[in-house]
Amino acid sequence: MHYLDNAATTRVSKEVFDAMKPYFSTYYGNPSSLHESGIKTRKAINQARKTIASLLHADPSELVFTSGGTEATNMCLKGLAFSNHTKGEIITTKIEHHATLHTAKFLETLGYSVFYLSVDEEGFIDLEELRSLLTNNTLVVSIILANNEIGTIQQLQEIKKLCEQASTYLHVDAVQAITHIPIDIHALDVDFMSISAHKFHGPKGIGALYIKKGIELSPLIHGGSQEKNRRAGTENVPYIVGFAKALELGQKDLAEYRKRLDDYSNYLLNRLNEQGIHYRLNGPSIGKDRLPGNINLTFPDCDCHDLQYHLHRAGIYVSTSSACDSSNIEISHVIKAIYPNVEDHKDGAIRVSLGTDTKYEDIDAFVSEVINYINKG
Amino acid sequence: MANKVKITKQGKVIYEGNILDIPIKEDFIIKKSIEVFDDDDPCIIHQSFVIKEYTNELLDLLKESPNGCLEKDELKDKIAFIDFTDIEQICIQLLE
Repeated sequence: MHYLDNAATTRVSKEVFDAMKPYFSTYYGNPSSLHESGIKTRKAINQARKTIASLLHADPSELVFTSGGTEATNMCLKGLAFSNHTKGEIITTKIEHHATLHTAKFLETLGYSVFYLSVDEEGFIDLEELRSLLTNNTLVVSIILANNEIGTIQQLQEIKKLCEQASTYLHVDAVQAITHIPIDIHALDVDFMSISAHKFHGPKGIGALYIKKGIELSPLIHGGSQEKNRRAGTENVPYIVGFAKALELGQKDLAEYRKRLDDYSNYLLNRLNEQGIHYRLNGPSIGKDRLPGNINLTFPDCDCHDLQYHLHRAGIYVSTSSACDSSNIEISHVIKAIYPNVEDHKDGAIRVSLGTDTKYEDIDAFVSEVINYINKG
Repeated sequence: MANKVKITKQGKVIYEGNILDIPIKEDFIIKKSIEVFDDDDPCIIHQSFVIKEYTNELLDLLKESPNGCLEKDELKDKIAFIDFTDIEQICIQLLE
C-alpha cells in the first residue's frame, strides 16, 4: 500500500496513541467532577490546552476545543452571525473548504450577503477585489490559509492589513497549514483560526477554534459551562491529549520536514518529466507559495476518477476532491475556480499529498502506475 | 485509460464504446454497494465506484478469455449485472 492521501487524513502516530490510551479506561473521570479521577482529567485538558497554545503562540484562554475543523469554522461564522446585529456582509473565496462555503450559503438564507472572491490560475485572491468589497458593513472575511486541494498559500499579512483598515474580523482556516508552515497566531494577528488534529497524526474528531481575546461569539452548542460557556458538552479528554501530542511532534523540525516534502514533490514532477508524461500542476509552483507535500495534477484527456480507480486497484491511494450532487459527480469547485473554462477543467484533477511516512518508492509506484494507465489508452 | 468493448446480440451490435458506460442493473449496484460499503443508498460517487468494480470484473473475464470474447451461457452468471435483456444471447468483445 502506498498512502499518498495525507491531506485527507493521516494515521494516528504511535506516540499520540500511547499518550491517549490511559484516558480511555484508566483516567476516565469527568473533568467537571471534583474528585481525584475528575481532577486528573481536568489537569490533562489544561495541560494540553497550554501545550497547544504555546506551540501556536496563543493564550490558552483563546482556544476552544471542537470536534474538528468543520465545527470550528461553523462556530466562528455562525457564532459571529448570531451575535451580530449590525453588519450584514461576509467575504470569502470560491476555493474554500465546504465547511466555509456551505456555512456561508446557510447564512445567506438568514439574510447575509456573501461575496465569493475569484482567484487566479494559481489560486491567489485579488487583493484589490477584496479591498473593493470591504465596507463598514463587512462582518468577517474568511480565508483558507493553505488550500487543501491545490496548496495555494494566501498572502495573509496583506489580507490582514485590509481587514484591519475596514475594522472587520478575519477568520483563517488553517486546517491544512498547521505543521506544514510556521504558524504564530499572535504575529499573524488574526481574529479566528480553525484547526483539526487528524491532519497531523492526531485523532479524527478533535480540533479547535482560536478566538482572539475579547471577542464574543454565540455558542453553537448549549448546555453545560465547558470551554468557558463557549462549547457545551463533556470534553473529549483522550482526543484533546492526543491533539496536543500530535501538534508537539508535528512542530518539531518543521523546516527540515518542509524541505523534505518539497524535495519529494520535485522528485515526483521530475520523474513525470523524464518519462515524457504530459501533465499540468494545478496551483503554484513547488516552493514558498505552495503547501509542502501537495501535488495536484491534471493529465490531459485522462478522466481523473478513472485514473484514481486504477491507482486504487494498484494499492496507491490518492484523491480526486470531487463532490457529488444527487445525480452527478462534480469536478472540484477549486479546479473550476482556477480554470473557469470547461475545456480546462473537464478532466478534473488528482491530488497526491505526501507526509511523514512517504518514501521515494511510494512516488516511484505512483509514477509507474500513471505510466501504465496512460499507456493502456 | 478506458477500454472499449463491443456487445452483439444475434450478430447485431447493441453496444460499442467505453466499458465504463455499459448499463449496469440498479439492483446489482445496490448489492455491490452493500458488499463494499454496507450502504444500501449509495451517493453518486459510491455508485460510480461500484460500477467500476463491475466493469473491472468484466475486463478481467475478457482478458482471461482466449479470444477476448465472452459468449452466451459460459459466463452468464458472472455478467448478470449487465442491464441487457436476454443476457445469455449476447457476445462481449474487448476491442483493441
